[in-house]
Amino acid sequence: MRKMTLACGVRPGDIAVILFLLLLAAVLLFAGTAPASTRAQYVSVVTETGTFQVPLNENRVIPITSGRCRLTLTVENGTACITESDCPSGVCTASGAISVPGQSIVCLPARVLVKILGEGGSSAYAKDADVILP
Amino acid sequence: MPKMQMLSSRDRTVRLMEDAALLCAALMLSYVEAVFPLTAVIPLPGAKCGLANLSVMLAYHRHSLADAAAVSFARVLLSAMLFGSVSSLAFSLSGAVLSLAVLGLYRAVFARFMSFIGLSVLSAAAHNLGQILCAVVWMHTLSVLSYLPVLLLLSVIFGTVSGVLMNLAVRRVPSAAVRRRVS
Repeated sequence: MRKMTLACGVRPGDIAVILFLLLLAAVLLFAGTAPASTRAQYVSVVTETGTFQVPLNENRVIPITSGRCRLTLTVENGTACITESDCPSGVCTASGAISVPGQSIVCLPARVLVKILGEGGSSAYAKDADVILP
Repeated sequence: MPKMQMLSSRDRTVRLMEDAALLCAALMLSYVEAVFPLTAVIPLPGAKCGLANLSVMLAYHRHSLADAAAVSFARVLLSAMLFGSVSSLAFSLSGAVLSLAVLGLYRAVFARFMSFIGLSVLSAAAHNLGQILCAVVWMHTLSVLSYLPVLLLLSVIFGTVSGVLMNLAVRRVPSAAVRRRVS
């Protein structure tokens, strides 16, 4: 059987794989984010030692020590961002501010996950919060 | 594809030398990615071009899965020692295992209907899936799964780029068999 090829050696299976993965990414994206009507309410912080939530409407600066890293989480005007980190990668500070339910900042060396939650503190994946800070 | 025990000692030496050369090329590509990180342009954690996968795919194409695995694991170990850390080694290893699993299926299953573009996209996606699964274990939370769609999108983009490069490379890099006939 003659092999069917297009430009640059592209074959039908290549296009099928690409379309399948794009579709999968889109489905996972919609499954993972909360409905757009949900307002952002809480910041959920998962650290090595435990999980806590802080309301998004209060401005505060929270120091976090997790793993071998010290981070500073700043909650300000309905957004949350990691403003300081002594971890070598600096990915978490580069991630910028998050404000929409479902958005998250991950710091792998420190094992810290910061996630915005909607009404009732729930989203498709983050149901593991068990402590609410006063 | 001759079986391992049927190779003459000269062929085995050629194969060892080629794998070593491909490992050097893979390390060079890892080094370039470490010096000019993609995350500086796209602020997405863990975003990488995955160009070193070209070497692994070439080792598979010219020899066998065993050669690809040798090149891949040696590259992961050496680049973690040179430019990475313990955590980056764990993430790279879990990605490498899954992408080698996809590579192993290529000749039997995928080669009938796809070129190296499909293979490279699939193995990039498998690599990212492995890393996310490692992150789930590492962070003790399923929340990191929500990052998978972003990584899948990146694997489609950069997998296509390295797949096109691979399609061009296999035509230009002469096969060991051709060179033997000439010499």
